[in-house]
Amino acid sequence: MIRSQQSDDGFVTRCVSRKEFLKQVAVASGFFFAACSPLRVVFKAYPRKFEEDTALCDCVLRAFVTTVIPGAGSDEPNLARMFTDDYYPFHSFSGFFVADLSERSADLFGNERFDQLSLAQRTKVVEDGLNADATVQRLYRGAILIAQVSYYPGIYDDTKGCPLIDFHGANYGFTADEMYYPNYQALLAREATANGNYS
Amino acid sequence: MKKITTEVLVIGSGFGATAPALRLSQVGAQVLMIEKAKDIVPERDFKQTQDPKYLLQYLKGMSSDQVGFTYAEALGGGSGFYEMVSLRAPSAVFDQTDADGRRLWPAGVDRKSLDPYYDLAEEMLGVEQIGLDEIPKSGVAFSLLMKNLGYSCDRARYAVKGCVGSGFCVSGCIFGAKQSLHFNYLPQAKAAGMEVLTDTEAISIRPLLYDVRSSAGTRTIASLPCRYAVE
Repeated sequence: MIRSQQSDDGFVTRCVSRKEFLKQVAVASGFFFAACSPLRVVFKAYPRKFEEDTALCDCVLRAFVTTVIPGAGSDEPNLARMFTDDYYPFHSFSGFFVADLSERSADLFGNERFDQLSLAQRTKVVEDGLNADATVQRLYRGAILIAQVSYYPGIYDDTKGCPLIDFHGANYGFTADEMYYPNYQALLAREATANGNYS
Repeated sequence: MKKITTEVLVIGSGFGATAPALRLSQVGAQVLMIEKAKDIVPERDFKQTQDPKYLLQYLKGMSSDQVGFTYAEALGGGSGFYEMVSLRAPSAVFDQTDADGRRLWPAGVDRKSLDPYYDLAEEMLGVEQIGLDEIPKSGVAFSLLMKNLGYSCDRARYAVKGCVGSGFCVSGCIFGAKQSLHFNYLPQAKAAGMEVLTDTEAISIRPLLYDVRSSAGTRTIASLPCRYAVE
């Protein structure tokens, strides 16, 4: 209950009941909470389905990787593994990240399923995240870095390599033609030591 | 807690630890080596990967405003993960002085006095300068760059035998080509009687004390020379 009183000096004082005060604080906190990304991450204030539905989470994260790494195949088994691997710190943010991608997809294109958008639409969603508040920006940049670190060196499959960067993976056998120049001696600089050690 | 008494305790298992451990074992000393990290068998434990999860379990870093360096925590220390380049320090290094003009190295230690020990270590590690026909394309390209800039360029000396050029030196050579301590100093020291305890960390070192009584009967406490309790 709110009552107004006018004092002797002309000021109007609003008397707010305890119940009304708590209500207003709760509403204000709610708005602040909803707008503040760090708090949403800390208090996990996002739809739980993005942490509980691992299949949905995997689909969205795969779509994210194929968006930021052109040429990455969406059916590769370890494409999104690093996002949820509990060894790497990103795993604790993956639920929020997937939720944020979904929210932006819904806001921009009316479809919550980021993985069902076209490549151009998904690119817009990622750009939107990269232009959001500082916390979300950092999250998106981190996610892109994680995707690159995971995909290009093929960290979950040592032998696979990555054709996108002409990396053939571990144990790739180089032929002599690939390793050595036939006319190398004409190209070498003068040597200043007799055996590689300076005196 | 298990109590162990030994004549020589070597803490760590890198280059600086294994060389004296081997030599002391060979002259009959009772040597125990402790290593805080886990045992390493190159063929079993090394992987050809760039996975940070794998690399960071062995490779650690320390840094300050002045200096930063990387080291390895594993049996054999950094020898399993370094780039195998094995060069002798040039003479000029030993002539360096501090701001007050004092020589940084102890008297009598210079390149000439160390050369016999370099010889020995190079023989142990199989250090050789790579042949002209072994210079890979990347090395030739770099040498050409130096040539065009008017500089000389020398072939490095490496502790490697039978390199297959897989390119995964820093993650540990699974082919056994890198001549890390697992193939020379460590097995030779073990054969000479040295014991190795992995997963064992030295937390504290304190000198062992004993009573000294003078002829006048006064009692003092002194530390025994070169006698320590390590926990």
